[in-house]
Amino acid sequence: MNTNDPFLSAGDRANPVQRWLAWLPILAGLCVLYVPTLADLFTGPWARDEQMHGPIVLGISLWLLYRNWGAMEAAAEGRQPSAWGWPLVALALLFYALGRSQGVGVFEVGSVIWLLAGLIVVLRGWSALKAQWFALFFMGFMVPLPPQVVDVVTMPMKMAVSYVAEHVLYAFGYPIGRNGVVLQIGQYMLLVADACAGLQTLLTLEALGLLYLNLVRRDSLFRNVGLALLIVPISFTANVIRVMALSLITYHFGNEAGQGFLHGFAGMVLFLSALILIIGFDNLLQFVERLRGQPPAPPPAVLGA
Amino acid sequence: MTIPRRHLLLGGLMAGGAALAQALRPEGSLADVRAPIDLKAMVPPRFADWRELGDVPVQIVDPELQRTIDAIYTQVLTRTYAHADGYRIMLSIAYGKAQTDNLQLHLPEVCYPAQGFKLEHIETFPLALADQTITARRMRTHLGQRFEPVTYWTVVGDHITAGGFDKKLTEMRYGLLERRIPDGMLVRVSSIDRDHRRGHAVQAAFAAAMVAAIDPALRGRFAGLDTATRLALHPTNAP
Repeated sequence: MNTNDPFLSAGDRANPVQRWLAWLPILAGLCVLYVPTLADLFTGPWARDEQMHGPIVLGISLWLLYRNWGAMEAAAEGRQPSAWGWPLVALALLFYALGRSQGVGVFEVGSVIWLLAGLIVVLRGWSALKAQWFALFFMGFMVPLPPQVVDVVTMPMKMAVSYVAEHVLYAFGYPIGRNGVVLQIGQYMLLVADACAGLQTLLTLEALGLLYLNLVRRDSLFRNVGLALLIVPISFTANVIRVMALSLITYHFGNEAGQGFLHGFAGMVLFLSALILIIGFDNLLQFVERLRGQPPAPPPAVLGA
Repeated sequence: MTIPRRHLLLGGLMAGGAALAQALRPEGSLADVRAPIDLKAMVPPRFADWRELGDVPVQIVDPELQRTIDAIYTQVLTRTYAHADGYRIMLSIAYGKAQTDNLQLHLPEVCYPAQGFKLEHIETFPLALADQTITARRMRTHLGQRFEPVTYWTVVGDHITAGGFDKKLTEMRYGLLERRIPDGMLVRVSSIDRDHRRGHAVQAAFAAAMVAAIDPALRGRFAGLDTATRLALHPTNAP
């Protein structure tokens, strides 16, 4: 299939307009497919608190793709593109058509990952895909999960977060009570709803943690595995912090302030506290490692610097 | 000008994918082409030995929860009925005009624990209604000393669904075959009763009486049209 494909001549390669023109059909195809999807996402799921991380994940994924572009081209140098990409592209497009027409977010948004993988394989081969795998994997975190799954898996977590938030605030002498995931503080009732403490935020933070690991590129297995495992309790703690912040703001400044906070700032608190906890735990693990007498790893390249 | 043929082919394929999605798109909502649902008018306030209690205090729902309910459901009917012998049944019917990922019926096994109830047991069972048997679910729940057995079922379009994956398949069947986004209904019957066997038995009788009292032309919307086929798979475990 790729034997008589006229690749760009040397003259075209030198001409930036020609280079862009060559990519135009693919760019146009991607736009036709995913601009409507993005528009729906931004006015639908991504406009709500529980999936606020969607655009962030998208941005980071695109940046990762861009960052790895050089490495990808280098890896693909002299290798043959593979025809196996075609079925991948076809499958992705079928998933897209089914998902988009029938309103199945997992298929519609998820298809972009398979499609990009297929495109890379068709145009640059498997070694190029290997260079980009993390960016594509990371994109998975922006795919909206089916609501049935979210509801069932999230509930125990919401319960636990509400329980801990209630007990901590009670210990500090606040008049707080709880029924399931409904917190009552003073005269206010707070529902620890989808906006807080869900599976989505757990995934967001897992994504954040993996990104941190990927960027920092520790060569210590102990710290990598340790952090990957610690991300679950970290996300839990970050969620408790968010729910407590929301409760306290509502209690001291009233319902209006709480609602405003909820829609403006709560996600940020979650992200920041998680990030601080991750960096803190990373340093702690480093400290433990040093205590165990191993040579210290090089300092973090991006975030910790 | 040379655009690599492979790039053109890929672009063409992607355009094809977009066109296919457009072609498969449902033309509208099933509810738009059928008789509009008006829960208040369609469910009679009196049937068999049951009558609606008018003087029950309105349930207070906190605003956050109310917003969620408003977003999901087109209509919600909440009533308390009393039997001639005094037994009380709480009926809650939630109707959503469009069942998509973003707008989904919320199931009682999720909602009850969220409100602080302990969910002790949940099972699927064959519920005999007026002229058919459907797959329904029942749960035993309690909040402190409030013991509340629950019976419920869900309808998508005219099909009883067992929830989860089955529901999604039903939705897609409507979308692909009938080119319509189906509507959905959740019918929930509960009572405050320490004896869950009695509670569930009375609830089953209530549900049958209520469905029998609904206009036969509309019954499918409330109780589904597909009958016993699926029930053969579920053993009878009625009390």
